[in-house]
Amino acid sequence: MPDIVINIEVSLRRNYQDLRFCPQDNAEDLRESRRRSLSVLQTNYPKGQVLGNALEYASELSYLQGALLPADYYKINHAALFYDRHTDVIAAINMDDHLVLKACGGLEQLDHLQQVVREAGQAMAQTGLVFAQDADFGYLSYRPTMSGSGLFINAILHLPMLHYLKQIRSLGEMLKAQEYLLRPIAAHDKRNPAKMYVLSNATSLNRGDGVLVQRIREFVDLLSKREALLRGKALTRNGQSAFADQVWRSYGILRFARRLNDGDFLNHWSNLRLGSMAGILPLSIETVDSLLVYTGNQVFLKEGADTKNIVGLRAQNVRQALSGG
Amino acid sequence: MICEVCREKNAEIVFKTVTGNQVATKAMCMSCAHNMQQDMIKMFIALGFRKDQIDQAEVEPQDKIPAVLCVNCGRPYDQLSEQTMAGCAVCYEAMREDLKARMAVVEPAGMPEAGQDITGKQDNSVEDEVRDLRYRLMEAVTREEFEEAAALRDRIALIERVEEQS
Repeated sequence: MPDIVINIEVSLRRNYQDLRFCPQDNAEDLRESRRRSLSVLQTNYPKGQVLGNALEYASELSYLQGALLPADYYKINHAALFYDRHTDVIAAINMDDHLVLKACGGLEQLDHLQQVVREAGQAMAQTGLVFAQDADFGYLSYRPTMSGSGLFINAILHLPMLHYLKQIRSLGEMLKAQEYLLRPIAAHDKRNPAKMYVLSNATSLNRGDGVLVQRIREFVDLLSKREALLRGKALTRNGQSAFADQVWRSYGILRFARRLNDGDFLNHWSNLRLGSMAGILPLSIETVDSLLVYTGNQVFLKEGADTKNIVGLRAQNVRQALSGG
Repeated sequence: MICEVCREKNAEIVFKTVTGNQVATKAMCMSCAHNMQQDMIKMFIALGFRKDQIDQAEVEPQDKIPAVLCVNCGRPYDQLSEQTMAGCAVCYEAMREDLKARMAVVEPAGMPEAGQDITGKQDNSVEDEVRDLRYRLMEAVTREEFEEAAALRDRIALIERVEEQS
């Protein structure tokens, strides 16, 4: 798997034919949509559970599984999040479309993830649910430009060098011309300290699943090569370049810091991952990626931590993971 | 309400000034509003705007009446864009023609074959050379090697001048 890939999410979007779509915010229709979806999901996945609040969400889903979900999903009118840990199927209900079935994993699992959501979608349809469909436009979405087969692939990528050297915009424009999108994952302060981006298909109209899978693989490969080229230029100068210096500084900070807020943590995490990808730090990418769990507050809150102590706890956990002092 | 500027006549309009994230509103009479508008025009001209740019800015955008309302959910629809939202399945009837037109161009001309490099730019293009030089300039500045940085800066300027002339 190219080292820039952090996670892949495949989703299948559906709306009920007879109900108004979510942006209309009609309480009656939203309630009915939630009831239908949960009723069938609980039948199809008897061991699955509704994650009703942030703590349940943190207990069940990894940071990456929830990276593309709204942070405060449980505050959205009549929304729900359903998770079956046995099949790893996640269902987001009334968050934008009525029902979005998701599965997450690595790039090498892409075909499998596509099959998982397709099977989940078929199982839902076989129970008699009628999804909004049109002969011309396929399955209908609340956003007409997203109508089609309803299959969307999101690749979460770490692109620090393309970010630093301001090449994301031109690459994004080139991808947009092919109807694919490259968007930043912004932290809550609207910056992108982790230098993470999401590559996804802008439409599923007239696109077979195979074509989408193939194109995403090709674009990931292209971005990976570009990133590696710049990384090679920037970091292979006997460890003396400004970027290499930043990598080592971040390693030192994460190993010994006593307080880390999430923005600060993500900024240094990104440098750490850059150092790991370039082979100049004695860390595997898996080790670096495993630190992402400490990004949000939920992981600490579920352990009963006080909000005031989270910056200290985050630093402590990261230090331990990196075997620092 | 009395005009907040002259404090004599009745206020007839509200003048809204947006500066960055800050919005200030002032209720004023027509005469004061006209004076303020003239002052602002002078200020924009002093800042280098042309008169025609200011005249354009003076035109208030009219609220557009949507062409179609969905008979089922009442959602207005005017023209399909990436931001357009549908209220229900019936809304698609109103957008059918626009969406069909969009469907006709889903595979844009020049779509690269699988495996083809889609950047369309060679690594040795002028743009790439300038980008590389800028990167080296940034590194030189970081290392505080200002002589090298100055040489790189001059080289970038030269390339850009030649490009501009050609």
